[in-house]
Amino acid sequence: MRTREEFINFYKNEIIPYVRKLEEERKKTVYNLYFWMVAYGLFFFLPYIYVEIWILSTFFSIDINLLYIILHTLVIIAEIAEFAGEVVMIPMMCCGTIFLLPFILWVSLYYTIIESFVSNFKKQIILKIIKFFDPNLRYSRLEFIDSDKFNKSRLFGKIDESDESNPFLWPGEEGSQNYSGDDLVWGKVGHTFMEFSDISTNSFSGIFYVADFNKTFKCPVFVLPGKSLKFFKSSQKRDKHQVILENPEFEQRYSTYCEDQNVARYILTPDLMERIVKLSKSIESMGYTGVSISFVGNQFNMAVPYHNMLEPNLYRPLYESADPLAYFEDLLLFYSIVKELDLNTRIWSKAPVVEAVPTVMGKVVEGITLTPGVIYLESVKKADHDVEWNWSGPVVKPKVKPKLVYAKPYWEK
Amino acid sequence: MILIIVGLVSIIGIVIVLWYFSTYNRLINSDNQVGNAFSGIDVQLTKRYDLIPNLVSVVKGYMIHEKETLTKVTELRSRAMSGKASDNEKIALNNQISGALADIKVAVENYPNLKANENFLHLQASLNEIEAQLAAARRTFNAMVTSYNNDVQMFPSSIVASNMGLTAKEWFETTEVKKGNIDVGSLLDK
Repeated sequence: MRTREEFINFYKNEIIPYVRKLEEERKKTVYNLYFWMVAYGLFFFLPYIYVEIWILSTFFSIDINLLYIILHTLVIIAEIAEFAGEVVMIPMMCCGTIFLLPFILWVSLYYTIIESFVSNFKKQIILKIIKFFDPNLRYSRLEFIDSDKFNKSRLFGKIDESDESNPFLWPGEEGSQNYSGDDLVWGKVGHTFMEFSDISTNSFSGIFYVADFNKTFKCPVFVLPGKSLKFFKSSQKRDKHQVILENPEFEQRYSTYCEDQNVARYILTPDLMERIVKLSKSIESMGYTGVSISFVGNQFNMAVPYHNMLEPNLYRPLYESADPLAYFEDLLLFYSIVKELDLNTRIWSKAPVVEAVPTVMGKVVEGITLTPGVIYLESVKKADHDVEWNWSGPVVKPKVKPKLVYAKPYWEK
Repeated sequence: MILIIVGLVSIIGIVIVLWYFSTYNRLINSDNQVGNAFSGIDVQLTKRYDLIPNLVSVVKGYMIHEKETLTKVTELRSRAMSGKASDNEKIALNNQISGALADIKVAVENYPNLKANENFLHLQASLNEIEAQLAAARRTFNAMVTSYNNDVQMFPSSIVASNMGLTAKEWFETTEVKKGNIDVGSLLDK
């Protein structure tokens, strides 16, 4: 594990030269942004609105004041419609687009202008910081945790009602609409595969973390902040499945739910509870509360309502010393979870996954050097002799035997 | 006036009867949960009984100085399994088994060949698994006993409990025997 001092040294020696170059680019980007903002406002936005009002008031004899009210109402309705569902959304979108068009165009223009800077920042600084942390870690700026995995955690996502292993949770009505994210970091820490990324959906915004858990268990366990009814069909169901544990600090922060009390205690040993409390405290010290944890299908899932991590601040000089340390702290927090929760201890019957042998369609290919960002197909032989297909990235279990897929590292695109 | 008094008394009477029955049911429920939790422990103990002969047969080829411990474990196991033992005796016997197994685990450190034996590694993982499950079952049992004891000992449900002849139950404690039996010093002397 790298220390802060090591990081500061590394930053001074390795990163600063890039920061100088990038600082120039940042200034240029901000300048471009202002230039385009003024140009766009003067030559597109204002004429657009003017013409629009002129057409409406001339051909449809609509009073300007009334028009103002209609415009605003439509924008508000469009917002509401987004929550109401897509059926209402479509006609509203058609009406709203005429008014929203300049805004939508501006947003896409904005991202086009800053894209090059953000992309350079991530590959020259963030990627280097991640590699400094652990050369085995991989990073992809545009990827994020698969929505299937997010849903499987059952913390926010849509829950399959036909799934009998989970009879007591309410099927998520919100589901994971507008599921998006970025900054996927993944890799093996010791024996444990873990990944995390920024995730944003209707029901959750923050960092989602998934790791392979070191024990096998037969039913899911939920560790939720406070007593929330959101997850349950009724308060009776909730209370029936609540497991009261021995650690008062843990109980103060979380409520634990599981169908089988023994399973909950098998997973949440006194030691693990202590460790979760410690981890929660360090997250709280960064100003974030409401961590939700679930143990589902041999995975450890954690959702932390957190700021959008690893993003550059466009409007502040890159030299400001607070920033690099903040990136370091963000990474350290999530990287150290495996160690903090002791997920590398594999003394129980769940054997550690044997090191992956690079294979192409079942044939072992010797001497392949894995390149970060490239997706390879691997087969991993598990200790129980069933072969599971997985990608060099997040483990997936495809229904059909997958074809070999190559993806170029994003910085080569 | 008399009607009102009779009415009040009968309402109070009904309330008391209803309370009595609900408390009665709650006590039965919590007594059953304790029984259920104990059977959870029993399942894990049985798994451990099944594992012990395998463990002994793998280990005895390597272990020279621990013959006595191995015989003791086998003997304890057959006594615990015999069916004659009461719940409390069973707990005591199993505490001794845990102690003896912990002795074996420490002693294994002296036999590098054994530590590399694949059969042994597999058995060790299974044993760790059972121990972890057992610890969980024991914690569940203790939590159930605590909630049951609260019902039995706290006023006013204690009145109903004493009518039913229910008494406080004991926790499943293990640690003392386990710790007492491991004598690392004597192992280092060997």
